[in-house]
Amino acid sequence: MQIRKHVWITTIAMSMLGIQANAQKIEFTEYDLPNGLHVILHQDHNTPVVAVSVMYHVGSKNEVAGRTGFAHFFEHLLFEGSENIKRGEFFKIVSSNGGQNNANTTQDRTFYYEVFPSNQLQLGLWLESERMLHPVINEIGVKTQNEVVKEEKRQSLDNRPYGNVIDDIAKGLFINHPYRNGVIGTMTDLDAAKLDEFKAFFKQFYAPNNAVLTIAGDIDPAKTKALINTYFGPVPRGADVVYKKAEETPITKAVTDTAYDANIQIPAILAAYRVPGKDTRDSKVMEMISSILSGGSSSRMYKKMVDEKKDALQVFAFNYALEDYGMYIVGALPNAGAAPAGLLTDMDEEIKKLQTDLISEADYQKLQNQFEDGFVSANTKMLGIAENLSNGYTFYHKDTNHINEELTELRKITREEIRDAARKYLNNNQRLILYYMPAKGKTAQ
Amino acid sequence: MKKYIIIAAGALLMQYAQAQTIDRNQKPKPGPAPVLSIKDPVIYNMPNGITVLVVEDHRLPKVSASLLIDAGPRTEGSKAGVIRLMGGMLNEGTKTLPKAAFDEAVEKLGANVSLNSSGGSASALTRYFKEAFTLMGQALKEPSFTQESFDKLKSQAITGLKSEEKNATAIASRVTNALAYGKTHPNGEFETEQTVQSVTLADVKTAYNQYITPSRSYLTIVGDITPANAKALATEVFGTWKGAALTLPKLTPVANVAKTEIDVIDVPTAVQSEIRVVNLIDLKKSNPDYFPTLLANYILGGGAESHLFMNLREKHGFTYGAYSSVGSGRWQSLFSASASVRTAKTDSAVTEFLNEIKRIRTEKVSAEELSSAKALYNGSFALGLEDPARTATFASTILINGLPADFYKTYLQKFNAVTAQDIQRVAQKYLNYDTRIVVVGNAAQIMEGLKKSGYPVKLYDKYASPVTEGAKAAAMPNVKASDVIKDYIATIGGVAELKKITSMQAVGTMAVQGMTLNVDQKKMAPNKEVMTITMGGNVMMKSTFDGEKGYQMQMSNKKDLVADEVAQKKVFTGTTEQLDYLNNPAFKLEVKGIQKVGSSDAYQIAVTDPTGKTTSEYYDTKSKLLVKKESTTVVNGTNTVSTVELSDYRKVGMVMFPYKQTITQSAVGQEQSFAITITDIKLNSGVTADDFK
Repeated sequence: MQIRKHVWITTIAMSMLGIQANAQKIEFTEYDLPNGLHVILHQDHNTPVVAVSVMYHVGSKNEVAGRTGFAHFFEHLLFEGSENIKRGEFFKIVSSNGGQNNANTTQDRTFYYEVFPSNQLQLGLWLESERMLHPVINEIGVKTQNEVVKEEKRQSLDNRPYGNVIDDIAKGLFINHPYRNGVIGTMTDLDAAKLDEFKAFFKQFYAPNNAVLTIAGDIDPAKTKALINTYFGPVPRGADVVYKKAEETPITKAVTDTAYDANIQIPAILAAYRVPGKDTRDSKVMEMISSILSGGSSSRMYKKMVDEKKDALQVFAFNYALEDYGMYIVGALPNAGAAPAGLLTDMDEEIKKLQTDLISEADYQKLQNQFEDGFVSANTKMLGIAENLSNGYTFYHKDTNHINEELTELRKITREEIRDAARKYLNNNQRLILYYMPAKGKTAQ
Repeated sequence: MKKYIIIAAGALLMQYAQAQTIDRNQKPKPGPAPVLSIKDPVIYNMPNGITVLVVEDHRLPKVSASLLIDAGPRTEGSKAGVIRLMGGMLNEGTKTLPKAAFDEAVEKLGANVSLNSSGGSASALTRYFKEAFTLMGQALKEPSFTQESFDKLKSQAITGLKSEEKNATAIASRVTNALAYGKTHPNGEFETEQTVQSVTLADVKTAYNQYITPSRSYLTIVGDITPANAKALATEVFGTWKGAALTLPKLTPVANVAKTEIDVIDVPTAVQSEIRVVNLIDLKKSNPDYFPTLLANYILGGGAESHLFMNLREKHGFTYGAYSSVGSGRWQSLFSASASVRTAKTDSAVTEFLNEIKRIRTEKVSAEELSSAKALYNGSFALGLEDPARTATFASTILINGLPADFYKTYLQKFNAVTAQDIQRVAQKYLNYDTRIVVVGNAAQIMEGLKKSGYPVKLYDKYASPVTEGAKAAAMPNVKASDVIKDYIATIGGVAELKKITSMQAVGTMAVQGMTLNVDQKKMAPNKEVMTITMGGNVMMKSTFDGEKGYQMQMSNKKDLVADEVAQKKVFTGTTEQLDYLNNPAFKLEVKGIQKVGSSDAYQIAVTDPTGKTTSEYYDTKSKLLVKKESTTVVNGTNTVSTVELSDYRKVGMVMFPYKQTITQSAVGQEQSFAITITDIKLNSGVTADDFK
């Protein structure tokens, strides 16, 4: 006890010293091109590096029933080449000019990027504008990428232990909302899709007025603006993107389900709750709850279940925050023959505590520190800054400055709000309980 | 002090296309080469042997520190694993802070602290750095080393080894190193269940005293801190730290094979072949060959545009990817070209590997290839500088390897000066054509093809010990299948005793990654059977057959046996299947050869049942006992190979039963293994027909 008291005093002393210490501010300028492309520029001359990125506000939630997987499919298709980039040349051009590139897709947006030595800025702008202006979308590209996507699905979902967990949870939490489909979609939908449908999807969602171009790094803003104008100016504006959020009625009765995975030997028990979308204050509160429950080996669930009771191998609690809703997921993997149902009881006890008692001042201070550290670490490289700036504009009501406000917002969240959010969203009758079990053919016969 | 570097891969880089002259039909030319500034870290030498390197960088309100103890390659011998365990133990609390209190102290700050067998790291917001760094120092200087933590980490290490026992990739890297360096070399030795099992807490303490020391240590502190403050803090935490003086080991150079040989490791369940083409090289970073060798390796197999990838994947489709890598440094290291290839194309893939090595040794690389490879190194060097710790890494690499102070300042210059002739010269020197080719795969399917290559083919086991080819001889053993079965029946108790068994029950436990499941198997004549697996009282799985029908159930998921499965079970008339093999002429038996099961020889008998389904059974040539069963089933459209290895035969009454069963399932590159340990077997008592419902 002596030790704990000592640490406690030090922490308070330091928190008083540290209260005015502010994390760095990310400076930026932003404007719209006449065609609606939103441009964000961040200057940093410390290293001669530049990140060129385009975030399209299209993800799997924009897909229609029977044609799932399109947004992710375009992540692949838009590397196939353009009127001026021969098929198969995209990656080669990037690497033979000293750059790195990739893309990724979520339920809400698709993000394409290159990182180059800064003397290759123009090359990066050319590459991104080529695929926005006139990508080649043809049968051979569709056919090739269809095979690649199938391999990717096998590799990252079907053959990966616990790979389908998120998709299984989404199916349970969303009835009307397209979030229930998962990002990669179904292969039968992709097989059935016609070339014209892909072309129509491109026309609908990949227009400059549905995208954010963010450049971060060693740039001269005036020259950069001129280049952007030249390369992206000619891209025609598209029709306004109309999106209507599908509303879900609140869950009032717990649902219990079982899913099977041929790649695992150890089952997982999960409880999932539907929470508000990522632009809400409550979404941030849920992030804090995750940290209390499972952030690090001194977190409540880890300490109790892994270190003390030893009935869990691993525990986790996280907010899978999306634009329209979030999936709040709490779970554990049993250790040494522990019954999954017993783990659920352990987890529920911790949630109950959050609903009943305010977290201590010391725990509150720990949260503040963890979030501040996380924020600083998230903005160390140009690519990370570019993505975070784009996120602010895309998901926080065109507030690019969200990158600088988020930490202040988090700091304002009170202990009472944490308790109240646990009371509001983490009730037993509002959830999906999922037993994720080793599949037949892999356990003993 | 700043020095400047110009990125200059070719003269083209100096041209700059103005915005107004842009033609989007043309790929843009690069702008003027950027100037890379490498700021030298501030360096202090502490009297106890620690070199402190400080990179001051106030861009972010964060500081990180890492300590590297340069002990060089360390030999562990029969206690292989002790050093890794020792590193893990440093994260298990200190003399004054038990693990939970230590974790809380770190995480309260939002900080990260972790330790390993050659040092550790700490990072925190500026205002908490001192505390986090002090905790890192405490963990390193005063670990608690409790028996409880040690037992936990040791069992985790053994579980980890077990889960990789049949993993072809893990076997390939272990055997490749062991064969290339030799099993007693620090880079060639490896952990086994036995070596880890033999490690004691006392061994961990000895290793700690030997290797965790300020001697030859490099402490790098990067971030929002002044060199003076960093020095003061380093002195406060590590100034009085003392420890053993380290001297680098002297290693005897190991020779490469003089002529190409193929070393095959048989993993019958492997669904792909792992190929490693390797030779040892001695390439110090100070050697002028360093730069051309890196480029030669890149052009041969460094990326997706390189020769190996273009040939083995793009042209032939043997593999998802083929790559090569090259080591460097103070000691010998490996040049290695590798891929996981389709079993049927193993020998063709080996041929193409050799063709590509020959090509880079005999043909000059094109100007375009060379300039692309240089551009890639130029770019990634620049991109790497985004990380402020990079310049500290440069400085410590210079010190550790005794390099000239301007090594990284002239780094790109040296790359850019490499010619196609240089590439060819170093390829001939370091990328051997007379080489060792390690192949891990299904020997029965790949041996014939590999032997046709004309190179000597040698067999090794999974732990790099030679296997005598005789045991694998293609010649069919001169025995009759029915005699093998008869010998087995006689050995386990004889026909009369076996016929007396009308029912049996076996109970036991099954370990699955740290969990213990209970297993209950029952059989009743003529062919009733049931197996139940429970965990903490809950039924996880049940499969049953009552003589007419049956089902398999997992949790609440129930599936009835289909007609084929029922038919396969109905053919049996008693609890010992082998009696039916001999008495029912509809069973076909065939001797397929002699195979190794564990370290012993066994007759492989193909048993085809009256429904046409074939399984392989392996009967030990000496003990006559059934040691393995193997069958293939199609689950969800993919082939699954199931094997059951049987051992630890013990007598129950007058009949012998295996008390240990290891079940392995493998399909498309994945494999899972379960060991069942039987604790009790009862005969002719307590089992009723109701048990099979």
